[in-house]
Amino acid sequence: MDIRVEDLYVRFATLSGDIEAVNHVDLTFSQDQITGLIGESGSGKSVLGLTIMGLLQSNATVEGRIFLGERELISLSEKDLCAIRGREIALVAQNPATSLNPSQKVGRQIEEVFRLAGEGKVDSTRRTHELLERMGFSDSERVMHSYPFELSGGMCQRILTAIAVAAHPRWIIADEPTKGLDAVVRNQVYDTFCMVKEQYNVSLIVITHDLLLARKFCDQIVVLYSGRVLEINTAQAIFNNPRHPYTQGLIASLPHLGMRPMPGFSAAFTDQPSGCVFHPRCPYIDEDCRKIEPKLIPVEEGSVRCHRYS
Amino acid sequence: MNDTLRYIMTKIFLAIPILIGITLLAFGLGLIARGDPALARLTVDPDYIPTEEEVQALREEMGLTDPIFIQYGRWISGVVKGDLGESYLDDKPVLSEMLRLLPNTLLLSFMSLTLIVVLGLLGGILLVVFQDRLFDVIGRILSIFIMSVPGFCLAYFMIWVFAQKLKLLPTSGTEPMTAFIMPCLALALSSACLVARLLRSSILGELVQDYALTARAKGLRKSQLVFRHTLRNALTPSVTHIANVFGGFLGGSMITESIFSIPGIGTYALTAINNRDYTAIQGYVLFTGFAFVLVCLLSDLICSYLNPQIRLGRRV
Ligand SMILES: Nc1ncnc2c1ncn2[C@@H]1O[C@H](COP(=O)(O)OP(=O)(O)O)[C@@H](O)[C@H]1O
Ligand code: SF4
Ligand SMILES: [Mg+2]
Repeated sequence: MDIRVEDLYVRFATLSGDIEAVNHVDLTFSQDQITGLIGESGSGKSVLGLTIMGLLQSNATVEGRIFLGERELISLSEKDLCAIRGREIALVAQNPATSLNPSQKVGRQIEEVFRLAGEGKVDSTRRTHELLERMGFSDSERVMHSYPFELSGGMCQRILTAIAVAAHPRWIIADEPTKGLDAVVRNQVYDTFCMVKEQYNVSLIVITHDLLLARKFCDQIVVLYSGRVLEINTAQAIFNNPRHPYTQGLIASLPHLGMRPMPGFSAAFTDQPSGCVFHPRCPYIDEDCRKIEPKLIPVEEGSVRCHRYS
Repeated sequence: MNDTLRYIMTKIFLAIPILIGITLLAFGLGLIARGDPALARLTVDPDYIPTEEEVQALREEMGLTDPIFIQYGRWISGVVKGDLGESYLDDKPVLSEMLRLLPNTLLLSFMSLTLIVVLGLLGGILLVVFQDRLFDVIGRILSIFIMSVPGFCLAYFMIWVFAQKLKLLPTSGTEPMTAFIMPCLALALSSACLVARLLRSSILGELVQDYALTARAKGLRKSQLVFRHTLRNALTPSVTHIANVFGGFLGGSMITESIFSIPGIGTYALTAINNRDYTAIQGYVLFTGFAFVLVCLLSDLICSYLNPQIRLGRRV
């Protein structure tokens, strides 16, 4: 079942003005492909993921449509959304260290998913054990009786993943699953997600600014910048032949390609540039770029939002 | 488990110096206030003027010339045996007098505690569940109103309505048990409102934490989220506040007890203060100090139960 996002627009009302965190995004997340959402921090990746799950805070205004198969999610009631969350679309939240309840043992936090799905106490406990073992914990008994702050970041990350897969959802949205982890643990996380994909037959949206993970793990890549999609393409094409100047800058900043940092910063949401949002940082800027906002233009198998390709 | 036990022992251990401090305070108060007991005893007969030698001899006999810490030791060993001295006023032993009045204060305190806990917690939770709906808005306005009325005004207002107009409740005294209803309301209502508001804002603070997002993503409804996850983490400030208030209640509430003519620890202290009855004040300081420290200790232990990070320490 694909997830289709149509003309999605998310605005936050804040004291310093409105923030258009997601700006007219059209996207299809295909169930057979792992999609990676990449972009600098603050580009709206998490907000996009949370909007799909209907989990934004109350200061958000959402316009547009999101389809899960035939169902439109934005117009659903909170009650219907509760039935979708966890069971059809699950979340692996960012910041594993703070994303588990600090005053509840992790076993109970996993069991809760089974209990919500209507299983009994004994079955839930048994299945939690099984799940933890599958997630690579050899001492599941001890882990179940630990509090989150007694576990490492990588372990919390796997617990979050266990919570997400517990109810066998169709979709998992993983938000920055490797952020703040060292190389060894990042590889563990990668292995865990490979296992999850195979054994649970789940479709994945991976939000990350870990470009190497995106290249290794994703089939399709979406590049976000200031709440807009700048480029969509297969992972291979994005890395071998990046088209958008922003994507080119991102790839050039990778360590093994010389680690050339991109000049400039993305503009504040409360003060967005006219025309192309990327123009203040773009090396190819010309007259049109300052005035006319480029459209997303199909180029071969992908699409790119830049005047140079029109 | 070991860590938990160690935490509890540490807390109890740390309370000991505070308790000793309170005995020093009470003893010091007696020391400053008593004047010269030897002189006082020798001048009971106003016509007799004792010589300096006589006074000095009696001082030595009464142990007043001993070093302070020996006097303190003598006093504290009496206290431990339950001897808090006799009142200057009527020569009744302070301890037995306080014990006689204590049940009324205890009853009033525990009734008020119950009211604060039930009304405060229930109110706080309901305000969150109905956040920004009519119940929440009215509840918040009403609670501000009640909190801004001083307890004694509320007391007189209730006496006027329930006792004088409706004749439902007795105006004063301790019989029948219903006489405690109005004092309890006067004492606890504003604290209950404060706890409800405090709890509301701490639950709302927990609801935007990262872990609440994970819980919501599991498909929990808001009420489930509040009860299963955020409530426990949000309780600490309310527990601490309730403990402070309750510790104060145990020392007797002078105003409420006076208005409703309830003979309790508070009125005892009030009389003692008015009559400069220092032994009684000394006993009162000792009692309220100990009660307060023990209640705070208990509240620390409750908080550490609620929040395992406190008792287990961070070990990441
Ligand atoms: N509840 C909120 N209220 C106001 N601004 C928000 C809120 N949530 C996110 N934002 C803003 O939206 C923008 C995008 O945030 P986010 O999606 O978290 O970025 P990232 O791509 O790093 O995940 C940021 O500027 C952030 O400050
Ligand atoms: S539209 Fe212009 S400014 Fe924007 S990325 Fe393309 S060339 Fe650069
Ligand atoms: Mg993010």
